[in-house]
Amino acid sequence: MKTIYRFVAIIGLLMVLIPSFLYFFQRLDPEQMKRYIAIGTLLWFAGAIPWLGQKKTEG
Amino acid sequence: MAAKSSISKRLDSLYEFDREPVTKNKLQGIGNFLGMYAGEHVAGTEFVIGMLFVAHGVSVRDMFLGGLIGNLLAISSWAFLTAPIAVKVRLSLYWQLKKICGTTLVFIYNIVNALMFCFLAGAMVAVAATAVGIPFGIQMPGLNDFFPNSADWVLTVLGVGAVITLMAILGFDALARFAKVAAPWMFLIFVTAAIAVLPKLGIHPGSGNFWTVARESIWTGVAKAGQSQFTIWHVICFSWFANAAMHLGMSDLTILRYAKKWQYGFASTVGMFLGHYVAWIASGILYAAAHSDAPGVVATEAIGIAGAICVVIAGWTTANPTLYRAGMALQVAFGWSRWKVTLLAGAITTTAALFPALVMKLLDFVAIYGLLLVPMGAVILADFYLIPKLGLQQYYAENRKIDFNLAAAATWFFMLALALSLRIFLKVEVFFLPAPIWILSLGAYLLLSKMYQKNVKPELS
Repeated sequence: MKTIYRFVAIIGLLMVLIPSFLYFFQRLDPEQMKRYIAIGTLLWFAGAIPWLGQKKTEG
Repeated sequence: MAAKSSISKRLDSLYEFDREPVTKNKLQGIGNFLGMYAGEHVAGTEFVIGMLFVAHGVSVRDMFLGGLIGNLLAISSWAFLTAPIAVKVRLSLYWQLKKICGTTLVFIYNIVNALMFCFLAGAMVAVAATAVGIPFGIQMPGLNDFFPNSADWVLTVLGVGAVITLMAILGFDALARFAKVAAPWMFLIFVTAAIAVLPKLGIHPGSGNFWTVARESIWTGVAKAGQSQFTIWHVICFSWFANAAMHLGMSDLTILRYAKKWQYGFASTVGMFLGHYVAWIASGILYAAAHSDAPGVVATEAIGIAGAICVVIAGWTTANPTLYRAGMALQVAFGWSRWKVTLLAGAITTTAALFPALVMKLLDFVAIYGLLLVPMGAVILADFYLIPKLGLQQYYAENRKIDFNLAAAATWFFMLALALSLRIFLKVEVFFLPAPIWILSLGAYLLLSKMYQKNVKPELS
């Protein structure tokens, strides 16, 4: 399950970063860029909270 | 009643390690420190500070070179001054000060310290609240407003303050986890927003004109009307001392006491370079392309709702550990349980956040806050390394069972009086004062201890 969370989170991070480059290189319009970054944000927190935010059990 | 008592006990148990050195099983890995420093220093303030550098006419060279030097000095201060003491003593700043200074002096120090922390957290609550209002069309105060200007603003601040206080009550682990989750995303939001506004500034693929635009349109070297002119020395000193209270002032003993090794002090690198350095550069670029001075609006113009969310969370991750520290400071002062004092700190913070002037004067406030606390950081360092070498007694207040170490108190008060005099009579800018004051404090404490320890007789119990 952790692998899935990690995958979702990393996809989210990529969706935060890549749209601005695509906009810079004129492959996206501003509204598309903003939408993809918002979706990336949602994906990051959906994946990263269960991935990184869990309390570690003490060994 | 029994349930209430049980909740109280459970909350108290969260903080049982505050009064004693951290035990080996509670030490934390480097990941927590990287997350903590990244989260804390990729913050709401970065949006404001990057903009202010532009407004104060910092040039391209001053921004890039001065920022590099200043941030390297800050990292060195954490790694070589704060962390080695933290991992050897493993006590929070407040308990260590109590052993050196005695109950009465530490009480005064803690009240000052806690208020500073509350105001800093309050500024972050206000920055976050400014962004929270954007999607809901709430009328926000302008940066020149002193008092809250609408009921909507008051309710927004109260809501944000309540959430932040709740998070702080949950404790260090919860804060570290939250910062860890938010930090990588927050950093990329700064970067992606800056890239997104490059076309607005006339920078296009293949144009090769970044440095020309940077020099002519972003960091022009000419201050805006009504702003003082900054030089490379301002950038170096501001970058070094922006967190002077935490490294030179030793506040981060409280955090770094959980480190396995002193080298974890270098974890501050992620905060200084991903946060301060890159985020200040990014926010300067954002500001140059924006039509507003409000961080939330600037970020939203660049990348939409994700920008506003970033401003909220950036403010939150700074306010959270700051409030946690304020709670610890008040705990020593009042002796209440941690959750009660954190609640009190949260109430003060939220009240302060209602006043937008706190954000407007943030640069000055941050500098003064560092300056206020660095003399006591010097006292801790002198007590740890130098006092035994001079044949004097370490932890003087604890060993002699006194409530007020006059040498430490005189060092603190004289040095603050000196700083105030330099500011008022010689017009030395506040950003340039922490280093000389810190060095003079080391010497003053040694000299005064030499005189004081000779004259004070131990109390007979």
